[in-house]
Amino acid sequence: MPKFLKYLRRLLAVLVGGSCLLLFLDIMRLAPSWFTGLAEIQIVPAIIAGSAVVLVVMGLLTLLLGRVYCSVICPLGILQDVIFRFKKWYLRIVKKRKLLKARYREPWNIVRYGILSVVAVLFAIGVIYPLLLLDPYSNFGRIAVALFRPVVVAGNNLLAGWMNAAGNYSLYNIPQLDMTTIVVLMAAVVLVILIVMAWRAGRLWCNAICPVGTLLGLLSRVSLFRVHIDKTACTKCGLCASACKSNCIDFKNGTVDVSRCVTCYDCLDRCRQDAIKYRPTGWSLRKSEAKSEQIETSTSSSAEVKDSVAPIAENTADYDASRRQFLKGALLTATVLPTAKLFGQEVAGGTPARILPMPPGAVSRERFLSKCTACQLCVDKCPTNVLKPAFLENGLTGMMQPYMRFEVEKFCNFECKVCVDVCPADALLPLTLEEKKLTRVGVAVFDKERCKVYESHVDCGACAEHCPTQAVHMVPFEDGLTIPEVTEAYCIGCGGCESICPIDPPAIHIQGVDEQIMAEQPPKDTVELNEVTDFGF
Amino acid sequence: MDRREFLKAMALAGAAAVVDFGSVGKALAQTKGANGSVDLVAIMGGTPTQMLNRVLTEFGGIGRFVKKGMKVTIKPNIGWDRKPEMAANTNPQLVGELVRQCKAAGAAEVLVFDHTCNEWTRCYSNSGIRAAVEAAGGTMVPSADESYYREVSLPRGVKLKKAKIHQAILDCDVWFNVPILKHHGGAKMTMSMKNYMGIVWDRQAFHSLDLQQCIADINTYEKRPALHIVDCYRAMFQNGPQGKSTDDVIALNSLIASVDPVAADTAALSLFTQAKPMDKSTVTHIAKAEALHVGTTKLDTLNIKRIKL
Repeated sequence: MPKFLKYLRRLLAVLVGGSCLLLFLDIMRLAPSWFTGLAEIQIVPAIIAGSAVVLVVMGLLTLLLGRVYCSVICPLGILQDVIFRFKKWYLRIVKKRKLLKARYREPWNIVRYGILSVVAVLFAIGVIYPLLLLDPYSNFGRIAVALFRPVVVAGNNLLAGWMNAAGNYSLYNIPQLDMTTIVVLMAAVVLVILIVMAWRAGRLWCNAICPVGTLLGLLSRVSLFRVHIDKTACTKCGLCASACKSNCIDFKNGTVDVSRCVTCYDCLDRCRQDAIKYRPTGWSLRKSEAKSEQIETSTSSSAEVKDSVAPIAENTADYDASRRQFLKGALLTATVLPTAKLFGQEVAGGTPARILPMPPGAVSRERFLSKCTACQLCVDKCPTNVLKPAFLENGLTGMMQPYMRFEVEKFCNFECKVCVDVCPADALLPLTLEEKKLTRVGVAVFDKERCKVYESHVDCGACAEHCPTQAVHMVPFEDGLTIPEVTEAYCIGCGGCESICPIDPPAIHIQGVDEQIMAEQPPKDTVELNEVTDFGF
Repeated sequence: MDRREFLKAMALAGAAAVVDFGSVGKALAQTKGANGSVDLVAIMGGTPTQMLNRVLTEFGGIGRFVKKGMKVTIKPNIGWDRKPEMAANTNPQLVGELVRQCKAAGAAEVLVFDHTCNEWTRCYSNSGIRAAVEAAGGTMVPSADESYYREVSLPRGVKLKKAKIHQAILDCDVWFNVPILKHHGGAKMTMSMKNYMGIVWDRQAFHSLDLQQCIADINTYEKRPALHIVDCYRAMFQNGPQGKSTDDVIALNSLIASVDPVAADTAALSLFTQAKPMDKSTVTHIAKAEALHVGTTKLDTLNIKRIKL
């Protein structure tokens, strides 16, 4: 049974982790659309999108089984387990040592509750940035898209080169994303921190930094199933603790900090006395255990190393202590908060003159910037790569959130709404295709004097050719030539015109809007056509 | 004759043939009915498949163009992420049937591509062309990467002196140009010659130089298609080349094929203007191409077959 749980956990983690990797690295976009559901069951996107079903299921799952989200659903958690596995292999192969040291680590309560409160309070007042920086799913997304994807694309292109030369076109060259440096940097920094933390202390990130881990920890404190040590059988050998990724088994006292247990089940099969168990103990534990603990307190020796063994007498006061620390954390929030708010306002004032459009479904800049966690899934999936994570284009606090920029062959595809479909947080509203085709992200601005037709007296019309709504259309000019004209009412700002304009910088460009509204539907042209019954030549 | 000499001789012969291609248009004009071969076939009133089969028969069968073991490339218009009913892309049944015929004639491979305006994988799929081609045993070739294109010079071009052309065209034994008849905001109409824009990488150069002249210039490219097959089954008569809805589409139920793109376009334009009158001379790339001896607008000098099914 204990082994079964561990293997089941590993199997699920490999399946989900692998699928999450595939989700971001499916560079040929072959996966079916339901595959993005993997992103929708992630907790932070679900909170932002208000997906009650996901949240209730995750909540109940945690109350029942503990932090299974952290062990088999969270891709960043699974990534840390992979790093930890490498450490185990390193120990076994290089150091010829099978076991890790048994160690109990005190919880970093001030840090974890401090971070959770800051993140939660700021999010509640519409400042998403701390959450954006710490959300495990979004961090995984940025690592996958900014660091792993280029490698996959390079490998694909190498293979495609060989295969195409041999006449096989099942693979093809895929352009690298025009990734913003800040995203690469942030992803690299987080990955390095993760590697260091996971290598040295297992799931410390999840128990000290991650706001989702801390939040779920509050729930798992009262979970039904939990890892529990039968003190009558325990010999305090520490084997279980040596397997613990969270360093949350206080083996000398025979207690487990379930708020930090990520239900990896690695400890269960270690015990030779069968003293550590994962069973429905939680809801009955409080009363019965409290009694037995008190009995044991009187018998336990008090002269032990402080780090690993806090005297049990203090243990009963543990809840008080953590409550105090929670409050301390909240206080921290109160001081950080006004500064952050001030920062946000300062940035809002400095809007650049050229407004760059947001992806369709963003609704308004305020809404979008307060909902997007910059997971890069839309950037990754956009077939024309018109989406690009911002550096300062969205303001200081909009860094890494996507915007649209138009270059050759980079414009919003009229018949496509992939970004809207994949956004797990609904930062981009799930528009229907008909709605998306009318959603105005910007408006074309035409500079007639610089137009090729006006300047060189030749036919061009590339902009009108690329306009899907005929907002840009050709009207009679001179000498049988036609010149573009913009009917703003029909323009949705897809950027087809700007992307193809042969003038540099383009004689027609898109000015983004801060509030996305529906463009008018162009009226039906009524044209009398003659019947054709003959060839005419 | 040793191998090297043989190859040299072949290269010279090839070059001679290339030079000769320049006067194909004139040659065509002079050979009307000379050997009884057809210059242009126009057909009306059947399904795209039926019309194509009849047209090919009139030209002497697909075997006249495709020999066993040949590498064939087909260049339809797949420019836009649009459904077939929108008539923004060449009819998928027409393309599929041509692939099938080429395979039946013993083609070693049949490649199909277009340098699309919208994202290419979506265009290939949503146009219905990928499905039709693959069902018929052809291969869709990617087009959205510069590495697939190699530079060729266009010595007879007026403004466009060189262009990067897709390797599927450069490396094939024979190719077919299969455009659709459409209104076009820039070029006024798009037919055979405008369809050449999809074989080049840098389309923007056309716009920045002089669209109409560049269309004529690219048509001086020495490796001419075996046939230009203009899909006039459904035609977009306004808001081209993308169209807003099916309201922009008229059913002409026709197909026009010719070895001469200028003649094919002249004929297709005449067919179209019956439905919606316009000043044909505004499609200036036709006259410009004729001036470069790409072909002829004088249809009465050609051996034309008109068929109604």
